[in-house]
Amino acid sequence: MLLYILKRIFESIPVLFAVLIFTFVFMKAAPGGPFSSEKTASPEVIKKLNERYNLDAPIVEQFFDYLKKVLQFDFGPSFKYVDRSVNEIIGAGLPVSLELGLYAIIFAMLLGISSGVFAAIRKNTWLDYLPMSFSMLGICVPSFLLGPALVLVFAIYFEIFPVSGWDDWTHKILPAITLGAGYAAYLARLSRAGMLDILNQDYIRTAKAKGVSNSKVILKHALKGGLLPVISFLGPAMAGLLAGSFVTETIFQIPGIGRFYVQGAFNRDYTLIMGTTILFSALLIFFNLLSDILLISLNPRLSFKGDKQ
Amino acid sequence: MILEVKNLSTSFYTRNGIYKAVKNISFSVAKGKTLGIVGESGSGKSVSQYSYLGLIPTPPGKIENGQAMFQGIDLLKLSQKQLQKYRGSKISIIFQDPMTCLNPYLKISTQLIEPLLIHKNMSKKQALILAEKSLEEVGISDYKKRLHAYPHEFSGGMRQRVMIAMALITEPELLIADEPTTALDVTVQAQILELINELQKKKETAVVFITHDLGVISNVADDVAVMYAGEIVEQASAKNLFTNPSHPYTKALLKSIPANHQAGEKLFSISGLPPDLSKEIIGCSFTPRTSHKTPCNNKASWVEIDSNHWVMKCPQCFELGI
Amino acid sequence: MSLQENISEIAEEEIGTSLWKDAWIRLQNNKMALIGFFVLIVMIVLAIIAPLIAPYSYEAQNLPLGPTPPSWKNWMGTDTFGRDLFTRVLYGGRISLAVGFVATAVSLGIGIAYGTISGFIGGKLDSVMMRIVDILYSLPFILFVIMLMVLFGRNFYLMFLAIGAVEWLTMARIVRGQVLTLRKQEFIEACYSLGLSNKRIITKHLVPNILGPVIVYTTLTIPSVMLLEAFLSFLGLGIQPPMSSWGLLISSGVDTMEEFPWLLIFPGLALAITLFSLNFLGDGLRDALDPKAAKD
Repeated sequence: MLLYILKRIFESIPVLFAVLIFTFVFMKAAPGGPFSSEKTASPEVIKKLNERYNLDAPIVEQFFDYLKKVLQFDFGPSFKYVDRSVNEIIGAGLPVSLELGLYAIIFAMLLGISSGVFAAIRKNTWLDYLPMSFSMLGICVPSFLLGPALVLVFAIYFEIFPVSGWDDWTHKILPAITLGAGYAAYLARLSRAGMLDILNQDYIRTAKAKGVSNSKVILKHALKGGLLPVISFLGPAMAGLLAGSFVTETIFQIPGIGRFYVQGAFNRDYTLIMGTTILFSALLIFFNLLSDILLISLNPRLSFKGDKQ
Repeated sequence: MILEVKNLSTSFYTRNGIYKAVKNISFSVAKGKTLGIVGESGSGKSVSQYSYLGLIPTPPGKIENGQAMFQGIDLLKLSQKQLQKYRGSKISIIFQDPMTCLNPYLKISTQLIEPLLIHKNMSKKQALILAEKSLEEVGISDYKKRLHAYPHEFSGGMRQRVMIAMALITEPELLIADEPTTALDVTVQAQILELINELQKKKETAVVFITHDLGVISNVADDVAVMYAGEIVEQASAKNLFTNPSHPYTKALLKSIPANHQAGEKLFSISGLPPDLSKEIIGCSFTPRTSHKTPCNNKASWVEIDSNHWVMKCPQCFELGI
Repeated sequence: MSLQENISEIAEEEIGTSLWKDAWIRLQNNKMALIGFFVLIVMIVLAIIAPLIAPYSYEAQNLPLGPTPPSWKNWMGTDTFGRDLFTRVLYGGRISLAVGFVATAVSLGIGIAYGTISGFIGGKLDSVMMRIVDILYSLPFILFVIMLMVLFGRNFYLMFLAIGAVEWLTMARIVRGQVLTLRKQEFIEACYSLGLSNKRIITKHLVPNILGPVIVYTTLTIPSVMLLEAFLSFLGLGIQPPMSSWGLLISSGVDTMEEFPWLLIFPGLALAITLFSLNFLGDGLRDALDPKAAKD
């Protein structure tokens, strides 16, 4: 397994590199520099700023300069928040976003998997139609609709939860639900489909023919195989969680990197954008790797050497 | 008689109509003997056996009526929970396709000891010892190591042996073998048949052997029931069936065996398709498949033509032959 | 009769029930999918004839009126500029649906072309092409789209491209998967051995098998794309005023949702209902076209 991990890390280096180049090119190709919106600054000040941030040097030089710093995990100073470095901003925002993401995923898995499995067992009954209708809702109602709706009902009307912020646990519930709802919906459908697929397999009939009780058939024989599609979904799901965090953090005023990213994009904060992009890519690669490792470990037909039997 | 089934009827209620899979059949099996059930796909052979074990999914299936006496109890009157006590302990099944019938996510050991843990209240340790022995009995070499492998590490023939071991590990009184060799190649087939035979003799198990292959039937069965379109059309001892077939369907089956042809002769096949079992069949069900295809409105009757040799006799069709 | 004659006779009878007929019957039985289909048609029609039925002009502001709740004069109320919300929702629908269909068409085009080439030619080219897809899959596309939209001016047409570019990957994978499987299928060989002509094989067997998942996925991509557009508009990166889409309407609705909730509710409902219809229809199509619909 170690070899597999190393192999994957090795393979991801060119990807990260490509991301870096991509982002860099994008930023530089855009019309207007980071300071073009500062209409109040005089030309000399602008020139000084450009010098300080080395924006006058040839592009290739700028790139390698930056690359060097990145390899030392130094993402440079933020262009907008002049006295803060990107590292600082990321350092402050990342844990918040990760925490939010974690709660969202836990919520999604608990709700989604359980309702999906029950829906499969009690197919075509109310226990099936009800959760599946709700899951349809979860897929069709985007987080920027759900979030405000939840706030309207639970924070403004019923005053159970606070409207925004990120201080104590009451602040964390509505955002986690908002971010996780879409995933709960997908997971419900995935686990239902996965379970149904397994329950139709011949070996389930074999288990029944051996006198295994119904609950044991589900728990011991069906669950493992049925939940595999769920695991393979989780890796790529991180990408969506990322996107979701932009909206959720904006709605609930949560100081996470999602929000900083969007603001950075608007402010043309080069270093911030590049830093967060690299970070996000690395996170994505990491979670995909995790998901693949889990998959291979749980499925006896797959092995780390890559041969499928 | 270990098992006596009388007037069993099973139907499936689907969107496209009521599909009568098994119509009023009766059969019995004795200890240590093998009852062979022969028929085409869709003739109701498997459904007839799964019905009394509660393995027919009940929507859309329904046991319309019947009686299945096993050791003095009518199985058809039992609940799922009660039936679970019989399945895998007193009555076991070997299924057709060993490639799909074992759980790929669980080790062989786990699956083998399961019936013992459930029905015989053994500890895991004891069960594992028995499991090892059972693998040895079915002729799997290197059984100590193999016990802890996963199904995909076995070949088809070996998986079927594992299935057999799993079915017999609790020493059931009745074994249902549902086309156990159909999915295997010919060389392995012979070995598996031999194995079942051996184990049956050892433990005096009653066996119901389902197959579409007459050659296999002639090898293993003491008595034979021929099924067509959900009904048993002829029932006799194997010897009588082969020497004196009476029903046109039986005769046609025998005629179709490639080995029964001369070299260079065109292979005989029964024309047409089996009937649509969701539509009411008037008269004798086999007429459309005979070469004369004369519509027949006669009701066939169950007639004993020889000692213990029964036939679903339709006067017109019997006259006209195949 | 002989074996040969028997098989041909049976084959002729069986080929009668084609996949499409079967699928159509199954689809008709699925009430939710049918409801989805009709609602979708209604939405599309409304969007097309919007200029004809809108009670007010799109931009007509009535500042002194300000935001008012639904009334007989304004069925969905008015917004902070006094504009009739019903009109804006109608016109917003035109944009949202247009973006949905066009961007999907873009991703469809790219995806099908890419997938077919990769699957047909196979071999090394296929491995390379799929590797690229895998890599692109692991990239945070959203980030690039955001960057693209921020930096290159909020160009209407660029948005189609950007959104389409996010979705084509899965389509390419699906198409390539289908092409590959079909090339190896035993039933294709069976068709050959039955003596069916090439033309018959392609039209009756190959095409339906590729088209099926493509149709299903397309129907399910449209709502994703619409969501993406709404998401971008919400962040201020998509459609720009004075044009309006449901996403933009929702975005401004969120700002004032405490005082004027109808500004959020109506566009929100419009979007949700359309997405529902598309998803139910897509689901229904998937169940109908999958011959192994063991979910029954």
